[in-house]
Amino acid sequence: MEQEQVWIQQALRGDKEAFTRLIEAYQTPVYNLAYRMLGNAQEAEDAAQEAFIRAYTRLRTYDPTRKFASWLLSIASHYCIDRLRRRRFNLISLEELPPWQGIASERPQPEERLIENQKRDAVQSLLATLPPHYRAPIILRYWYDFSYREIAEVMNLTESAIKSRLHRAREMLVRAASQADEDKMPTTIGAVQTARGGG
Amino acid sequence: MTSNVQASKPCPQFSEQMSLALDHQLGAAAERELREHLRTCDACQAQWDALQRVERLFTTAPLISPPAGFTARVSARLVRRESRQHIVFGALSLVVGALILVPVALASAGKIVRPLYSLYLLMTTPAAWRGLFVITELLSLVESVLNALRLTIVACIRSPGVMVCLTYNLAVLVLTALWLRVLIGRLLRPVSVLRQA
Ligand SMILES: [Zn+2]
Repeated sequence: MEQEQVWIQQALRGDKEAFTRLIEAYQTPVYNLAYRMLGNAQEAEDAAQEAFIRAYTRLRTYDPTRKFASWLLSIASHYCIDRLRRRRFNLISLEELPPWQGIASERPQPEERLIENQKRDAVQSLLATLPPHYRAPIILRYWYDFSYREIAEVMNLTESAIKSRLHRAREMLVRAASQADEDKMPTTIGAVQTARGGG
Repeated sequence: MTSNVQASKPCPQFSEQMSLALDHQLGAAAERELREHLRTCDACQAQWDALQRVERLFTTAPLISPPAGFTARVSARLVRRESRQHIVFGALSLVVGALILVPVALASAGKIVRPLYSLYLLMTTPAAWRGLFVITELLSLVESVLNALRLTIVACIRSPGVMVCLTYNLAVLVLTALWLRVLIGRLLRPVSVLRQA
């Protein structure tokens, strides 16, 4: 924690090396947030890079009494929400989602990896059914283990607003999961249990 | 189980309680009440099961890391972004500097045109008597430049608007220095590019 504050102070004085230490420390949390929000690696990479650049140029506005992670993830999540709003459609139905074209199709994979990819697929399909401002609180809740107060801080909302968003988002996720089950889509929770054969 | 959810809707008064229970934000008494209700209400029990399946799926999903070399890519983008800003800033200061210099240029234009015209005459008709005339004109140009310098210095020192005068000169100097810095910065850029391990 102390080391982090030293890096921030050095970066504020224009030391880019110190800022690269911060990027190294937070690349996975920021990238994961962008990936979970946007649903594909290419856009996630671009958004995560942009989030760090914005953090660097706004470093003066960072309040050292706050958690640096919260401040950084706040920049990243607002950027991703803006980006999603700029997209033509915010709500993508499960049918419109392209099948996962990951590493899975390249070469035969151990069963564990296959299940892992299908699981990632299922999670992203469900997340994609949520509007951006419902998606962000869910991601902060599950991947960052943030409390209602921390999510409220990141999102610039009240705790009660976060409470109701998480509640409504969960209802949407349950509806989307049961819809996917009914349509027997390969990207459902049910499919996770049965590994698919071949490559 | 899924068909149960659609057959009958879960009770709205327990809907938010379930979400709170998943986050361990429900008080002990409220949680007991919810458990009691789940035993007796099929629709709510089905909803609760569905919520827990989503919960399991999401809580076991890992953090995804970026492809290798992410830090270097961000650093390179940062350097690119900054050098672009410097160029824009430099160009802007040059334009402002030029605009400030326009009145000066206009004021001295009269002084310069006449000797230039004589120089032109010397080139076209190199008669000896014209040469004498041109030399006197050139001398008068040198005299007027020196005079202008003297006037500027005197005005700066003596005039009541000494601050305005100094500020103006300082502004021109600073803008010129900024522009030079941008030019030199561009020339030295390959050396200063941030190195990545
Ligand atoms: Zn009920």
